[in-house]
Amino acid sequence: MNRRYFVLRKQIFYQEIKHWVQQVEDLIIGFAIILGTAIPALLFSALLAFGIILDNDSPPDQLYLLAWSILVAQSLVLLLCRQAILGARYSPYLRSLETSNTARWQADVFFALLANPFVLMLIFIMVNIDIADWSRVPHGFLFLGLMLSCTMLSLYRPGQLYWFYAFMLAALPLLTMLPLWQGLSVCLLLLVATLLISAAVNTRALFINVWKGALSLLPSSLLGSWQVFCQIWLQATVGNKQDTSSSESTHANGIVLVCVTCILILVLTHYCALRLPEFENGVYFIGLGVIVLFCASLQLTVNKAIKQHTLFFEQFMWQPKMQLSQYCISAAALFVFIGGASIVFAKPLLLIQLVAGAISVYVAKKQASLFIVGWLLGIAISGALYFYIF
Amino acid sequence: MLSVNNISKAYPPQGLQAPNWVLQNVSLDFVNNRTCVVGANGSGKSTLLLIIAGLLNANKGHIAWQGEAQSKQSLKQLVALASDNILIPSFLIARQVISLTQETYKAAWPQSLISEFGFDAHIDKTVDSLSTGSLKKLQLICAFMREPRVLVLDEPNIALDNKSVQVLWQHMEAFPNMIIVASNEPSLYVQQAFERLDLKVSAT
Repeated sequence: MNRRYFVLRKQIFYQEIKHWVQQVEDLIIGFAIILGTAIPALLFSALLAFGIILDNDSPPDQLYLLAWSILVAQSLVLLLCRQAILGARYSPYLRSLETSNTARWQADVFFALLANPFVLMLIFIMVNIDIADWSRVPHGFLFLGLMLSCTMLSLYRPGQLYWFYAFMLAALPLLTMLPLWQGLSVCLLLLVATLLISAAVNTRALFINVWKGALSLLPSSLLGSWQVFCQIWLQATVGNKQDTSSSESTHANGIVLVCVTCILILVLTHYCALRLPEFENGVYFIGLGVIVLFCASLQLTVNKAIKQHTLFFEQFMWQPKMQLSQYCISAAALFVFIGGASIVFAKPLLLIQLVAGAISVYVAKKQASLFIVGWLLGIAISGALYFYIF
Repeated sequence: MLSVNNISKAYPPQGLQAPNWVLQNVSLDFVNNRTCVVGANGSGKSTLLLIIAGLLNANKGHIAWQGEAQSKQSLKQLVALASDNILIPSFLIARQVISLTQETYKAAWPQSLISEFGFDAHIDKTVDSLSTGSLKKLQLICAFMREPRVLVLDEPNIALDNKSVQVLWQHMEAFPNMIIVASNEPSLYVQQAFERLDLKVSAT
């Protein structure tokens, strides 16, 4: 590989990661304070999850849920680091350099692996298994293949990856009827099928059309100009292009990332609730609390869009409807996920988390630097209400 | 009459640098219905226009209309500004920008402006796919459609093709209220009976 090119990519990678960390510094500090010593335990739990899959002793539904969760988690990490991995912000300059496609691809793969602890963990585990025992873990190799395929898709076709995860989640009841190695083979085939199907579908357009459809269900007299305003905020959170390497990338696909993360948390919450039935209510409450954090963080994305285009929005923000409509995206996400979870898990009391959501969104708008504090306060209030009523 | 009274504006300091004073105690009276503000690069023309339009706060001073000091809010209603400094979000579609203006300022849909500027073909494009000239047309359409008491245009003819410049002149000529233009080509406007008003560079 062209050494100079690689060194340049390395500089871009570290610079972009540093830039990204600076952007979410408050959030990281907040997590570090909340989780504290539990952070190493989280890393350990990832190793444990691979162990459970490789052992292949657990009930199939739990194994597939775990596999799905690991795939989604690695994709989220990669999507967040995608701009750094591909050096996307500098792609016109990088393309102008006389470098072969192979060298570019090698650099992409190298930095993708560097940013993806999940694949490295699995490779580490697989390498440590005795060669004579490899024939006993075909599902381990298949899962590694699936993870590597999803890694590549996260880099080059992120829009299509969401479809794959949706299809895989929908197919879980069928997959559980198969042994793990067969189920994972089916997943690989599903991945290829998804690529073929989703190539024809524009994810961004679909999101916007679903939103439009939802808005059109309401009487137009009731909605009026709200429709225009809500549409604008949706576009602010979806971004301009599916490609997260666009100049709007820091908030591009924000809503998609939040939705995928929330679904992942819901699945993991359900998994934990199955494993710890005696703590079921607490597990659901905590899971939804984390969902509140992600949904309310959409308000930060909206804030950012407003800040980036201050002069433009200054012309319109004096209107009360425009002022209020800026909360529509975070509010809609909260209603969909908290409301949906309380229905799916048949636990109407979980709706109390909407209180935490309202407080978090309010703080995100009024004092973004205290967002984590606002969220904690919201969780404390809704927790007190939950246990009082419960 | 619109008057600028002792306006001072400084942008926040960067690091250890002192605040950058763009305007210091600027006072101007826009008596004529057509005025062209002229000034060297960095003299604060664009900043002044943003303050007049109520989109930027001044550190000191105020803007008065018919002798009465105006709040930022009332200036937004009174003045429409077309300026490249107003960065339109690239994720919006041109039609949405016009709809937003229509909804906010209770204006009519500006079909004739759209047609005359030859903007029909671009109305459903996202802002980031518009050329510099088309973006300028979009700004002008949004400003004219509001039919404001004061129309403020920052370098309106820059990037426009000849035909569109003609359309712009026609609309400026037919516009019944006050027009303030900032330009580095004042002769063009002076020929069209615009009064020339010089803005001096503030000492920083």
